Amino acid sequence: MASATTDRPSSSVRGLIAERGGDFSGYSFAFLDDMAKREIRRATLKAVAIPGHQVPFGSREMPIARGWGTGGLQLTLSLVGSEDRVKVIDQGDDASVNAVNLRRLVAQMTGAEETLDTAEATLIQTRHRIPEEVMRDDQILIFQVPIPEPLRFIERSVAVARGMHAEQDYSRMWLALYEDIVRRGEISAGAGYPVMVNSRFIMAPSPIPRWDIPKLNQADTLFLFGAGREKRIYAVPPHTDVRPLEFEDYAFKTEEFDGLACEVSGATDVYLVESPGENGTSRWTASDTNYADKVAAGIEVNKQW
Amino acid sequence: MTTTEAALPIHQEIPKPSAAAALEQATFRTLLHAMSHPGIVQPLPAPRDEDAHWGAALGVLQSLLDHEVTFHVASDEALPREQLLRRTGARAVDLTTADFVLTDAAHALEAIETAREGPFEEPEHSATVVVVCDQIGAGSTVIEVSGPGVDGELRFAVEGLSAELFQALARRNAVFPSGIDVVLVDRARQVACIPRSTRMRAGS
Repeated sequence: MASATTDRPSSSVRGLIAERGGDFSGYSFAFLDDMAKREIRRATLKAVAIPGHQVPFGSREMPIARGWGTGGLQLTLSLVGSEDRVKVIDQGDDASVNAVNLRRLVAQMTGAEETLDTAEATLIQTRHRIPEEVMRDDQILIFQVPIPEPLRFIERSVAVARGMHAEQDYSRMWLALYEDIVRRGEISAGAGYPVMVNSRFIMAPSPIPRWDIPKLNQADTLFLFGAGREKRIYAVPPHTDVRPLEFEDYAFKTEEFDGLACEVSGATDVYLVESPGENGTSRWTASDTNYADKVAAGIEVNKQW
Repeated sequence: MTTTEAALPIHQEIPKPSAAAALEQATFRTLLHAMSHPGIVQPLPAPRDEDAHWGAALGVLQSLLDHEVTFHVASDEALPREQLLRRTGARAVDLTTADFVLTDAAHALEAIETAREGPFEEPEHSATVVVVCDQIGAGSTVIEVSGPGVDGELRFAVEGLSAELFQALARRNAVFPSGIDVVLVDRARQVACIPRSTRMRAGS
Protein backbone atom coordinates (compact mmCIF):
# COMPACT_ATOMS: atom_id res chain seq x y z
CA MET A 1 0.00 0.00 0.00
CA ALA A 2 1.32 3.43 -0.88
CA SER A 3 2.34 5.76 1.89
CA ALA A 4 -0.55 7.85 3.11
CA THR A 5 1.26 11.16 3.02
CA THR A 6 4.01 11.31 0.37
CA ASP A 7 2.16 10.79 -2.90
CA ARG A 8 -0.87 12.93 -2.20
CA PRO A 9 -1.28 15.93 -4.45
CA SER A 10 -0.84 19.24 -2.69
CA SER A 11 -4.41 20.13 -3.62
CA SER A 12 -5.67 17.70 -0.98
CA VAL A 13 -6.97 19.10 2.27
CA ARG A 14 -4.18 17.31 4.10
CA GLY A 15 -1.56 18.81 1.77
CA LEU A 16 -2.96 22.32 1.93
CA ILE A 17 -3.09 22.29 5.71
CA ALA A 18 0.45 20.88 5.92
CA GLU A 19 1.74 23.63 3.62
CA ARG A 20 0.33 26.17 6.08
CA GLY A 21 2.07 24.49 8.98
CA GLY A 22 -1.09 22.95 10.38
CA ASP A 23 -1.80 19.48 11.63
CA PHE A 24 -4.46 17.30 10.07
CA SER A 25 -5.42 14.14 11.86
CA GLY A 26 -8.59 13.64 9.88
CA TYR A 27 -11.02 14.28 12.72
CA SER A 28 -12.03 17.11 15.01
CA PHE A 29 -11.27 16.70 18.68
CA ALA A 30 -14.11 14.58 20.11
CA PHE A 31 -15.31 13.85 16.55
CA LEU A 32 -18.00 16.55 16.48
CA ASP A 33 -17.17 19.93 14.98
CA ASP A 34 -17.12 22.96 17.28
CA MET A 35 -20.50 24.26 16.11
CA ALA A 36 -22.22 20.94 16.72
CA LYS A 37 -20.73 20.81 20.21
CA ARG A 38 -21.82 24.37 20.98
CA GLU A 39 -25.37 23.63 19.90
CA ILE A 40 -25.53 20.49 22.05
CA ARG A 41 -24.02 22.44 24.98
CA ARG A 42 -26.66 25.18 24.70
CA ALA A 43 -29.41 22.55 24.66
CA THR A 44 -27.83 20.76 27.64
CA LEU A 45 -27.75 23.90 29.78
CA LYS A 46 -31.41 24.63 29.01
CA ALA A 47 -32.28 21.00 29.78
CA VAL A 48 -30.62 21.29 33.20
CA ALA A 49 -32.45 24.58 33.87
CA ILE A 50 -35.82 22.93 33.06
CA PRO A 51 -35.63 19.49 34.73
CA GLY A 52 -37.58 16.83 32.83
CA HIS A 53 -38.34 19.01 29.79
CA GLN A 54 -37.23 17.66 26.41
CA VAL A 55 -35.08 20.16 24.52
CA PRO A 56 -34.77 19.63 20.75
CA PHE A 57 -31.28 19.54 19.24
CA GLY A 58 -29.80 18.99 15.79
CA SER A 59 -28.77 15.37 16.11
CA ARG A 60 -25.70 14.77 13.90
CA GLU A 61 -24.73 11.83 11.74
CA MET A 62 -22.51 9.62 13.85
CA PRO A 63 -20.26 6.70 12.91
CA ILE A 64 -22.81 4.36 14.49
CA ALA A 65 -26.40 3.81 13.44
CA ARG A 66 -29.22 5.75 15.04
CA GLY A 67 -30.74 3.62 17.74
CA TRP A 68 -27.32 2.44 18.91
CA GLY A 69 -26.63 5.24 21.34
CA THR A 70 -26.05 8.28 19.12
CA GLY A 71 -27.84 10.64 21.54
CA GLY A 72 -25.77 9.54 24.49
CA LEU A 73 -22.63 9.55 22.38
CA GLN A 74 -23.21 13.13 21.18
CA LEU A 75 -23.71 14.26 24.78
CA THR A 76 -20.55 12.46 25.86
CA LEU A 77 -18.53 13.96 23.01
CA SER A 78 -19.79 17.49 23.73
CA LEU A 79 -18.80 17.11 27.40
CA VAL A 80 -15.54 15.21 27.25
CA GLY A 81 -12.08 16.73 27.61
CA SER A 82 -8.73 14.98 27.42
CA GLU A 83 -8.57 14.91 31.25
CA ASP A 84 -11.75 12.84 31.59
CA ARG A 85 -12.01 9.18 32.48
CA VAL A 86 -14.79 7.57 30.48
CA LYS A 87 -16.82 4.46 31.26
CA VAL A 88 -19.50 3.03 28.98
CA ILE A 89 -21.96 0.36 30.05
CA ASP A 90 -24.57 -1.54 28.09
CA GLN A 91 -27.19 -3.11 30.40
CA GLY A 92 -24.63 -2.71 33.19
CA ASP A 93 -21.91 -4.50 31.23
CA ASP A 94 -18.59 -2.82 30.31
CA ALA A 95 -17.64 -5.66 27.97
CA SER A 96 -20.53 -5.78 25.51
CA VAL A 97 -19.51 -5.09 21.93
CA ASN A 98 -21.43 -1.81 21.76
CA ALA A 99 -20.04 -0.53 25.06
CA VAL A 100 -16.47 -1.39 24.10
CA ASN A 101 -16.76 0.26 20.70
CA LEU A 102 -18.33 3.45 22.05
CA ARG A 103 -15.71 3.70 24.80
CA ARG A 104 -12.87 3.18 22.29
CA LEU A 105 -14.33 5.73 19.92
CA VAL A 106 -14.47 8.39 22.66
CA ALA A 107 -10.93 7.55 23.79
CA GLN A 108 -9.51 7.58 20.24
CA MET A 109 -11.16 10.90 19.45
CA THR A 110 -10.10 12.68 22.66
CA GLY A 111 -7.24 10.92 24.43
CA ALA A 112 -9.51 10.52 27.44
CA GLU A 113 -8.69 7.55 29.63
CA GLU A 114 -10.92 4.48 29.45
CA THR A 115 -12.03 2.93 32.70
CA LEU A 116 -14.33 0.16 33.88
CA ASP A 117 -14.36 1.43 37.46
CA THR A 118 -17.55 3.30 38.36
CA ALA A 119 -15.82 5.24 41.14
CA GLU A 120 -12.91 6.27 38.92
CA ALA A 121 -14.96 7.51 35.95
CA THR A 122 -15.79 11.20 35.49
CA LEU A 123 -18.29 10.50 32.69
CA ILE A 124 -20.37 7.34 32.43
CA GLN A 125 -22.42 6.69 29.33
CA THR A 126 -25.07 4.06 29.89
CA ARG A 127 -27.62 2.01 28.08
CA HIS A 128 -30.50 0.95 30.31
CA ARG A 129 -28.89 0.82 33.75
CA ILE A 130 -27.77 3.05 36.60
CA PRO A 131 -24.67 1.65 38.32
CA GLU A 132 -25.23 -0.07 41.67
CA GLU A 133 -22.35 1.92 43.13
CA VAL A 134 -23.32 5.39 44.28
CA MET A 135 -22.18 8.20 41.99
CA ARG A 136 -20.79 11.50 43.27
CA ASP A 137 -21.56 15.10 42.39
CA ASP A 138 -18.37 15.41 40.32
CA GLN A 139 -19.55 12.64 38.01
CA ILE A 140 -22.11 12.76 35.20
CA LEU A 141 -24.29 9.87 34.05
CA ILE A 142 -25.33 10.03 30.38
CA PHE A 143 -28.27 7.89 29.27
CA GLN A 144 -28.87 6.58 25.76
CA VAL A 145 -32.56 7.08 25.12
CA PRO A 146 -34.60 5.31 22.43
CA ILE A 147 -37.96 7.06 23.04
CA PRO A 148 -37.79 10.32 25.00
CA GLU A 149 -41.53 11.04 24.92
CA PRO A 150 -43.32 9.33 27.84
CA LEU A 151 -46.68 10.21 26.28
CA ARG A 152 -45.84 8.52 22.96
CA PHE A 153 -47.93 5.44 23.75
CA ILE A 154 -51.06 7.45 24.52
CA GLU A 155 -50.59 10.32 22.04
CA ARG A 156 -48.84 9.81 18.73
CA SER A 157 -48.73 13.48 17.72
CA VAL A 158 -45.54 15.16 18.93
CA ALA A 159 -47.24 18.57 18.78
CA VAL A 160 -50.20 17.45 20.89
CA ALA A 161 -47.91 15.72 23.40
CA ARG A 162 -45.88 18.92 23.71
CA GLY A 163 -49.08 20.82 24.46
CA MET A 164 -49.98 18.28 27.12
CA HIS A 165 -46.59 18.81 28.78
CA ALA A 166 -47.00 22.59 28.50
CA GLU A 167 -50.36 22.53 30.25
CA GLN A 168 -49.36 19.72 32.62
CA ASP A 169 -52.39 17.91 31.24
CA TYR A 170 -51.52 14.37 32.19
CA SER A 171 -55.04 13.04 32.74
CA ARG A 172 -54.77 10.61 29.80
CA MET A 173 -51.51 9.25 31.24
CA TRP A 174 -53.19 8.59 34.57
CA LEU A 175 -56.13 7.03 32.77
CA ALA A 176 -53.80 4.73 30.83
CA LEU A 177 -52.17 3.62 34.08
CA TYR A 178 -55.63 3.02 35.61
CA GLU A 179 -56.69 0.94 32.59
CA ASP A 180 -53.47 -1.04 32.94
CA ILE A 181 -54.45 -1.89 36.53
CA VAL A 182 -57.97 -2.86 35.46
CA ARG A 183 -56.63 -5.20 32.78
CA ARG A 184 -53.59 -6.66 34.50
CA GLY A 185 -54.02 -5.95 38.19
CA GLU A 186 -50.95 -3.74 38.34
CA ILE A 187 -49.07 -1.04 36.45
CA SER A 188 -47.26 -3.28 34.01
CA ALA A 189 -44.52 -0.95 32.80
CA GLY A 190 -41.23 -2.72 33.43
CA ALA A 191 -38.24 -1.01 31.86
CA GLY A 192 -38.68 2.75 31.52
CA TYR A 193 -41.31 3.25 34.21
CA PRO A 194 -42.67 6.83 33.83
CA VAL A 195 -41.61 9.33 36.48
CA MET A 196 -42.64 12.82 37.60
CA VAL A 197 -39.71 15.24 37.75
CA ASN A 198 -39.71 18.22 40.10
CA SER A 199 -43.52 17.85 40.46
CA ARG A 200 -43.91 19.27 36.95
CA PHE A 201 -42.93 17.13 33.95
CA ILE A 202 -43.60 13.45 33.31
CA MET A 203 -40.36 12.02 31.96
CA ALA A 204 -39.23 8.79 30.30
CA PRO A 205 -36.25 7.63 32.35
CA SER A 206 -35.01 5.52 29.37
CA PRO A 207 -35.53 1.75 29.63
CA ILE A 208 -33.83 1.31 33.00
CA PRO A 209 -35.38 -1.38 35.24
CA ARG A 210 -37.72 -0.33 38.03
CA TRP A 211 -34.83 -1.25 40.34
CA ASP A 212 -33.00 1.91 39.23
CA ILE A 213 -35.91 4.35 39.40
CA PRO A 214 -35.48 5.30 43.10
CA LYS A 215 -31.82 6.22 42.41
CA LEU A 216 -32.96 9.16 40.25
CA ASN A 217 -34.59 10.85 43.24
CA GLN A 218 -32.47 13.37 45.17
CA ALA A 219 -29.20 11.94 43.84
CA ASP A 220 -25.82 13.67 44.14
CA THR A 221 -25.19 13.22 40.42
CA LEU A 222 -26.27 15.04 37.28
CA PHE A 223 -28.25 12.79 34.91
CA LEU A 224 -28.28 13.72 31.22
CA PHE A 225 -30.48 11.99 28.65
CA GLY A 226 -29.75 11.97 24.92
CA ALA A 227 -32.08 10.66 22.22
CA GLY A 228 -30.23 10.80 18.88
CA ARG A 229 -32.92 9.44 16.59
CA GLU A 230 -35.62 11.60 18.20
CA LYS A 231 -33.30 14.60 18.56
CA ARG A 232 -34.02 15.40 22.19
CA ILE A 233 -31.88 16.18 25.23
CA TYR A 234 -33.23 16.32 28.77
CA ALA A 235 -31.85 16.25 32.28
CA VAL A 236 -32.37 15.58 35.95
CA PRO A 237 -30.08 17.78 38.05
CA PRO A 238 -28.75 16.53 41.39
CA HIS A 239 -31.06 16.85 44.42
CA THR A 240 -34.22 16.86 42.31
CA ASP A 241 -37.49 15.15 43.22
CA VAL A 242 -38.15 12.24 40.87
CA ARG A 243 -41.17 10.11 41.73
CA PRO A 244 -42.52 7.08 39.88
CA LEU A 245 -46.18 7.49 38.87
CA GLU A 246 -48.34 5.49 41.24
CA PHE A 247 -51.72 5.40 42.93
CA GLU A 248 -52.30 5.45 46.68
CA ASP A 249 -53.62 1.89 46.59
CA TYR A 250 -51.28 0.65 43.83
CA ALA A 251 -47.83 1.61 44.98
CA PHE A 252 -44.73 1.46 42.80
CA LYS A 253 -42.66 -1.67 43.41
CA THR A 254 -39.19 -2.63 42.25
CA GLU A 255 -38.26 -6.06 40.91
CA GLU A 256 -37.78 -8.83 43.47
CA PHE A 257 -35.21 -11.59 43.34
CA ASP A 258 -36.32 -13.72 46.26
CA GLY A 259 -33.56 -16.01 47.44
CA LEU A 260 -31.38 -15.48 44.38
CA ALA A 261 -27.76 -14.35 44.59
CA CYS A 262 -25.19 -13.21 42.05
CA GLU A 263 -23.02 -16.17 41.04
CA VAL A 264 -19.94 -13.97 40.65
CA SER A 265 -20.13 -11.88 43.80
CA GLY A 266 -22.65 -13.62 46.03
CA ALA A 267 -24.54 -10.32 46.35
CA THR A 268 -28.27 -10.58 46.94
CA ASP A 269 -29.24 -6.90 46.98
CA VAL A 270 -28.47 -6.10 43.35
CA TYR A 271 -30.33 -6.18 40.03
CA LEU A 272 -29.83 -9.68 38.67
CA VAL A 273 -30.03 -10.98 35.12
CA GLU A 274 -30.67 -14.53 34.05
CA SER A 275 -28.58 -16.41 31.55
CA PRO A 276 -28.80 -20.07 30.51
CA GLY A 277 -26.67 -22.42 32.58
CA GLU A 278 -25.80 -26.08 32.06
CA ASN A 279 -28.49 -28.74 31.67
CA GLY A 280 -31.30 -26.27 31.26
CA THR A 281 -30.63 -24.50 34.54
CA SER A 282 -30.48 -20.75 35.06
CA ARG A 283 -27.50 -18.71 36.02
CA TRP A 284 -28.11 -15.42 37.85
CA THR A 285 -25.50 -12.67 37.92
CA ALA A 286 -25.44 -8.96 38.77
CA SER A 287 -26.12 -6.98 35.61
CA ASP A 288 -23.60 -4.37 36.83
CA THR A 289 -20.42 -6.29 36.02
CA ASN A 290 -18.06 -3.77 37.62
CA TYR A 291 -20.00 -4.00 40.87
CA ALA A 292 -19.86 -7.82 40.80
CA ASP A 293 -16.12 -7.79 40.06
CA LYS A 294 -15.40 -5.34 42.87
CA VAL A 295 -17.43 -7.27 45.44
CA ALA A 296 -15.86 -10.54 44.30
CA ALA A 297 -12.41 -8.94 44.78
CA GLY A 298 -13.31 -7.95 48.33
CA ILE A 299 -13.55 -4.21 47.61
CA GLU A 300 -16.06 -2.33 49.68
CA VAL A 301 -18.67 -0.58 47.52
CA ASN A 302 -21.16 2.04 48.69
CA LYS A 303 -24.52 1.31 47.10
CA GLN A 304 -26.81 3.39 49.34
CA TRP A 305 -28.14 5.75 46.65
CA MET B 1 -3.53 -13.75 10.57
CA THR B 2 -2.48 -11.11 8.02
CA THR B 3 -5.99 -10.76 6.67
CA THR B 4 -7.32 -9.95 10.12
CA GLU B 5 -4.65 -7.32 10.64
CA ALA B 6 -5.34 -5.72 7.28
CA ALA B 7 -9.02 -5.50 8.16
CA LEU B 8 -8.32 -3.52 11.33
CA PRO B 9 -8.95 0.22 11.05
CA ILE B 10 -6.02 2.40 10.09
CA HIS B 11 -4.49 3.87 13.22
CA GLN B 12 -5.49 7.46 13.67
CA GLU B 13 -3.62 10.00 15.67
CA ILE B 14 -5.70 11.30 18.57
CA PRO B 15 -7.08 14.66 17.44
CA LYS B 16 -5.89 17.61 19.52
CA PRO B 17 -8.27 20.43 20.42
CA SER B 18 -7.29 23.94 19.46
CA ALA B 19 -6.52 26.21 22.44
CA ALA B 20 -9.85 27.96 21.89
CA ALA B 21 -11.79 24.69 21.71
CA ALA B 22 -10.10 23.36 24.87
CA LEU B 23 -11.00 26.56 26.72
CA GLU B 24 -14.60 26.35 25.47
CA GLN B 25 -14.86 22.75 26.68
CA ALA B 26 -13.46 23.58 30.12
CA THR B 27 -15.68 26.65 30.40
CA PHE B 28 -18.75 24.65 29.43
CA ARG B 29 -18.05 21.97 32.04
CA THR B 30 -17.70 24.65 34.72
CA LEU B 31 -20.92 26.26 33.53
CA LEU B 32 -22.75 22.92 33.47
CA HIS B 33 -21.66 22.20 37.03
CA ALA B 34 -22.75 25.67 38.11
CA MET B 35 -26.11 25.35 36.34
CA SER B 36 -26.77 21.97 37.96
CA HIS B 37 -25.69 23.30 41.39
CA PRO B 38 -27.44 26.68 41.75
CA GLY B 39 -25.69 29.01 44.18
CA ILE B 40 -22.42 27.06 44.22
CA VAL B 41 -19.60 29.42 43.23
CA GLN B 42 -17.18 27.98 40.67
CA PRO B 43 -13.86 29.32 39.33
CA LEU B 44 -13.88 29.71 35.54
CA PRO B 45 -10.86 28.65 33.49
CA ALA B 46 -8.60 31.55 32.49
CA PRO B 47 -10.13 33.34 29.49
CA ARG B 48 -8.30 34.67 26.47
CA ASP B 49 -9.60 38.10 27.27
CA GLU B 50 -7.78 39.91 30.01
CA ASP B 51 -10.33 42.67 30.52
CA ALA B 52 -10.96 42.57 34.28
CA HIS B 53 -14.61 43.55 34.14
CA TRP B 54 -15.90 41.71 31.06
CA GLY B 55 -13.26 39.04 30.47
CA ALA B 56 -14.86 36.12 32.31
CA ALA B 57 -18.34 36.89 30.97
CA LEU B 58 -17.02 37.09 27.42
CA GLY B 59 -15.34 33.72 27.94
CA VAL B 60 -18.64 32.22 29.06
CA LEU B 61 -20.51 33.62 26.06
CA GLN B 62 -17.82 32.65 23.58
CA SER B 63 -18.20 29.04 24.65
CA LEU B 64 -21.90 29.13 23.71
CA LEU B 65 -22.37 31.68 20.92
CA ASP B 66 -22.07 31.23 17.17
CA HIS B 67 -23.99 32.37 14.09
CA GLU B 68 -27.01 30.23 14.99
CA VAL B 69 -27.95 32.41 17.97
CA THR B 70 -28.45 36.07 18.86
CA PHE B 71 -27.24 38.24 21.72
CA HIS B 72 -27.77 41.63 23.29
CA VAL B 73 -25.37 43.62 25.46
CA ALA B 74 -27.08 45.86 28.01
CA SER B 75 -24.32 48.26 28.95
CA ASP B 76 -23.11 51.78 28.15
CA GLU B 77 -19.76 50.33 27.14
CA ALA B 78 -19.20 49.37 23.51
CA LEU B 79 -16.37 46.89 24.13
CA PRO B 80 -18.27 43.67 24.93
CA ARG B 81 -20.65 44.03 21.98
CA GLU B 82 -17.75 44.58 19.58
CA GLN B 83 -15.83 41.65 21.00
CA LEU B 84 -18.78 39.26 20.75
CA LEU B 85 -19.62 40.39 17.21
CA ARG B 86 -16.06 39.88 16.07
CA ARG B 87 -15.34 36.64 17.89
CA THR B 88 -18.54 34.61 17.73
CA GLY B 89 -20.39 35.49 14.52
CA ALA B 90 -23.60 35.77 16.55
CA ARG B 91 -25.99 38.58 15.61
CA ALA B 92 -26.64 41.50 17.93
CA VAL B 93 -30.37 42.11 18.40
CA ASP B 94 -32.53 43.98 20.87
CA LEU B 95 -33.06 42.95 24.48
CA THR B 96 -36.50 41.43 24.08
CA THR B 97 -35.55 39.01 21.29
CA ALA B 98 -31.98 37.92 22.16
CA ASP B 99 -31.12 34.30 23.03
CA PHE B 100 -28.30 35.51 25.26
CA VAL B 101 -28.10 38.77 27.18
CA LEU B 102 -24.96 40.21 28.72
CA THR B 103 -25.55 42.97 31.24
CA ASP B 104 -23.68 44.98 33.85
CA ALA B 105 -25.14 45.78 37.26
CA ALA B 106 -26.61 49.09 36.10
CA HIS B 107 -28.79 47.48 33.41
CA ALA B 108 -29.43 44.15 35.14
CA LEU B 109 -32.94 44.95 36.42
CA GLU B 110 -34.19 45.95 32.98
CA ALA B 111 -32.56 42.88 31.44
CA ILE B 112 -34.09 40.50 33.98
CA GLU B 113 -37.54 42.03 33.63
CA THR B 114 -37.68 42.20 29.83
CA ALA B 115 -35.44 39.43 28.44
CA ARG B 116 -37.19 37.05 26.06
CA GLU B 117 -39.48 34.36 27.39
CA GLY B 118 -40.25 31.10 25.56
CA PRO B 119 -43.85 29.90 25.37
CA PHE B 120 -44.99 27.07 27.66
CA GLU B 121 -44.58 24.65 24.75
CA GLU B 122 -40.98 25.73 24.19
CA PRO B 123 -39.65 27.07 27.50
CA GLU B 124 -36.09 26.45 26.30
CA HIS B 125 -36.51 29.51 24.05
CA SER B 126 -36.24 31.81 27.06
CA ALA B 127 -33.12 33.94 27.27
CA THR B 128 -29.98 33.17 29.23
CA VAL B 129 -28.93 36.35 31.03
CA VAL B 130 -25.28 36.78 32.01
CA VAL B 131 -24.89 39.40 34.76
CA VAL B 132 -21.47 40.85 35.53
CA CYS B 133 -21.04 41.89 39.17
CA ASP B 134 -18.25 42.88 41.57
CA GLN B 135 -18.02 39.71 43.61
CA ILE B 136 -19.81 36.40 44.17
CA GLY B 137 -19.32 34.46 47.39
CA ALA B 138 -19.05 37.52 49.61
CA GLY B 139 -20.94 40.79 49.75
CA SER B 140 -23.85 42.69 51.18
CA THR B 141 -26.70 40.98 49.30
CA VAL B 142 -27.55 37.51 50.59
CA ILE B 143 -29.53 35.08 48.45
CA GLU B 144 -31.11 31.91 49.79
CA VAL B 145 -31.80 29.29 47.15
CA SER B 146 -33.56 25.92 47.11
CA GLY B 147 -35.00 23.57 44.50
CA PRO B 148 -33.45 21.25 41.90
CA GLY B 149 -29.68 21.06 42.21
CA VAL B 150 -29.66 22.39 45.77
CA ASP B 151 -29.26 19.99 48.69
CA GLY B 152 -31.88 21.47 51.00
CA GLU B 153 -31.16 25.19 51.19
CA LEU B 154 -28.09 27.21 50.37
CA ARG B 155 -27.09 30.80 51.06
CA PHE B 156 -24.60 32.76 49.05
CA ALA B 157 -23.66 36.42 48.98
CA VAL B 158 -23.13 38.83 46.10
CA GLU B 159 -21.54 42.27 46.03
CA GLY B 160 -22.68 44.88 43.53
CA LEU B 161 -26.21 43.60 42.84
CA SER B 162 -29.22 44.64 44.91
CA ALA B 163 -31.65 42.39 46.76
CA GLU B 164 -34.42 44.01 44.66
CA LEU B 165 -32.81 42.55 41.54
CA PHE B 166 -33.10 39.01 42.87
CA GLN B 167 -36.63 39.67 44.07
CA ALA B 168 -37.46 40.75 40.52
CA LEU B 169 -35.87 37.54 39.24
CA ALA B 170 -37.92 35.49 41.72
CA ARG B 171 -41.09 37.19 40.42
CA ARG B 172 -40.04 36.56 36.82
CA ASN B 173 -39.41 32.88 37.56
CA ALA B 174 -42.48 32.36 39.77
CA VAL B 175 -44.37 30.12 37.33
CA PHE B 176 -42.12 27.26 36.26
CA PRO B 177 -41.25 26.38 33.47
CA SER B 178 -41.58 29.93 32.19
CA GLY B 179 -38.84 32.30 33.25
CA ILE B 180 -35.22 33.00 32.45
CA ASP B 181 -31.89 31.48 33.43
CA VAL B 182 -29.27 33.68 35.06
CA VAL B 183 -25.50 33.28 35.07
CA LEU B 184 -23.63 35.52 37.53
CA VAL B 185 -19.99 36.26 36.73
CA ASP B 186 -17.60 38.37 38.83
CA ARG B 187 -14.29 40.18 38.42
CA ALA B 188 -12.38 37.30 40.00
CA ARG B 189 -13.59 35.01 37.19
CA GLN B 190 -16.04 33.14 39.34
CA VAL B 191 -19.43 31.96 38.20
CA ALA B 192 -22.70 30.96 39.88
CA CYS B 193 -26.02 30.14 38.23
CA ILE B 194 -29.67 30.66 39.10
CA PRO B 195 -31.73 28.60 36.65
CA ARG B 196 -35.49 29.26 36.50
CA SER B 197 -36.16 26.10 38.54
CA THR B 198 -34.52 27.70 41.59
CA ARG B 199 -36.68 29.19 44.33
CA MET B 200 -35.04 32.08 46.10
CA ARG B 201 -35.26 34.78 48.72
CA ALA B 202 -32.95 37.78 48.82
CA GLY B 203 -32.11 40.34 51.48
CA SER B 204 -29.26 42.59 52.48
